[in-house]
Amino acid sequence: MGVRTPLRGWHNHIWNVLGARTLSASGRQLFTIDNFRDTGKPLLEVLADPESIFIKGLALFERRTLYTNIVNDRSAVYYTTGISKTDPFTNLDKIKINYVKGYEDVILDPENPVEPLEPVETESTVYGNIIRSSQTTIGRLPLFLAMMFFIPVGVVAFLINSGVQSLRSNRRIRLHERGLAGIQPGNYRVPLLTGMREAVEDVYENLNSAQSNEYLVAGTEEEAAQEEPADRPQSSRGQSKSHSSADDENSEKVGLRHHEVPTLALAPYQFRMVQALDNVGFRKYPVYIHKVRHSHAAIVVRVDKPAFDEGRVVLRHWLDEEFLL
Amino acid sequence: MAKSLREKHPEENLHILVAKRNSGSFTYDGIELGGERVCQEIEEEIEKLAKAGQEIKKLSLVGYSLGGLVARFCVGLLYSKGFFEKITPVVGTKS
Repeated sequence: MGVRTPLRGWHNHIWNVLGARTLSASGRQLFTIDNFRDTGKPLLEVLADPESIFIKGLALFERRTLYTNIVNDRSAVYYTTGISKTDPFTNLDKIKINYVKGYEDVILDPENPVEPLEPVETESTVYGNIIRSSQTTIGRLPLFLAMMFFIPVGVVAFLINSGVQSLRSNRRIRLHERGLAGIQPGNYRVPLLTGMREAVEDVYENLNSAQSNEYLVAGTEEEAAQEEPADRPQSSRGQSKSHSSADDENSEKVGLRHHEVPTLALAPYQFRMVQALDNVGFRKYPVYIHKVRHSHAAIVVRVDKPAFDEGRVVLRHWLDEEFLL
Repeated sequence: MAKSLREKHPEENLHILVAKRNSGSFTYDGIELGGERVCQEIEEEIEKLAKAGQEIKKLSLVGYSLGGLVARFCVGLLYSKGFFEKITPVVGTKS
């Protein structure tokens, strides 16, 4: 979904507008402010177009699997790596996490990743919650102090470095375009769309991008439109529970959950991307790295150290459960 | 990752290619160029192996972070070249 953050107002400007322009080609593509070849669309959107060679090729795979960090991954946040319209993991104190058997504590059960805590439990742990939340605040204090010092230094260094890297990168791209980098671009400049997109009226186009702060307003038509078609097909083998017991109670629970997990204020094209990728079908495994904050590195055991052991569980799961010869 | 994959599957059954041409600051050059580089790397590797008498029948791709997007671009290029008519795509993974 790229790194366009579901924000509005001045936050939106700093991050999505200014941030995007200090970056090189990869950065512009991730912020979806590029115009890919002459499609009039950003590359990421073309990459998720149902008529594109990218989706058609992807669909041929016997299996598509993804692992997504549910917390602390600032480089690749949950909704973008997990291809999701919602983020059910914003307040982990209020939910119970279910794990895949044999991979406890790290890999969440895709069938039923989270459920609301029983009301009784939450009442009895009000005190515990206060302690826990104050702990997180105090725990973050060193981080805040460090940021006060490093941000001014870092911003300058960052801007200089991104300038230099952008120049170098642009030089490499120019070489590549002229075929001087060992690859004949012509070999790969193939038609990207294999058929004309049907002129279906797009429900999402009508979605007013001026929604409330970070989420779509619950209970509106827009929100309902996002909920229904999307989460049914496969991403939510997870969310739907057995309908065996009392139906009334169940529907109440589901309703409650929808309120707890509001739809993110993604852009219309981002909703379309989620939909298209979900239609191809991914086996999605949410991953909870809690030993270290740097979950982006830990999930692939970037450095061989015990603190990153949770990443080894992910690796083992991938090797034993997902990888096919 | 390559190491643990190798521990489970010997070279006779599985050839591992760790793409090299997008490492370091080359990662800034964009998903398109990155995808083209990986695509070429895969094609060259398969050709090289074929010359050495090792035939590749199936292909799995693993990408991490931006690499996941690069891999998806690469899949499209391979598809458009008719690559998957000869070689079966098996698992695509990203995180």
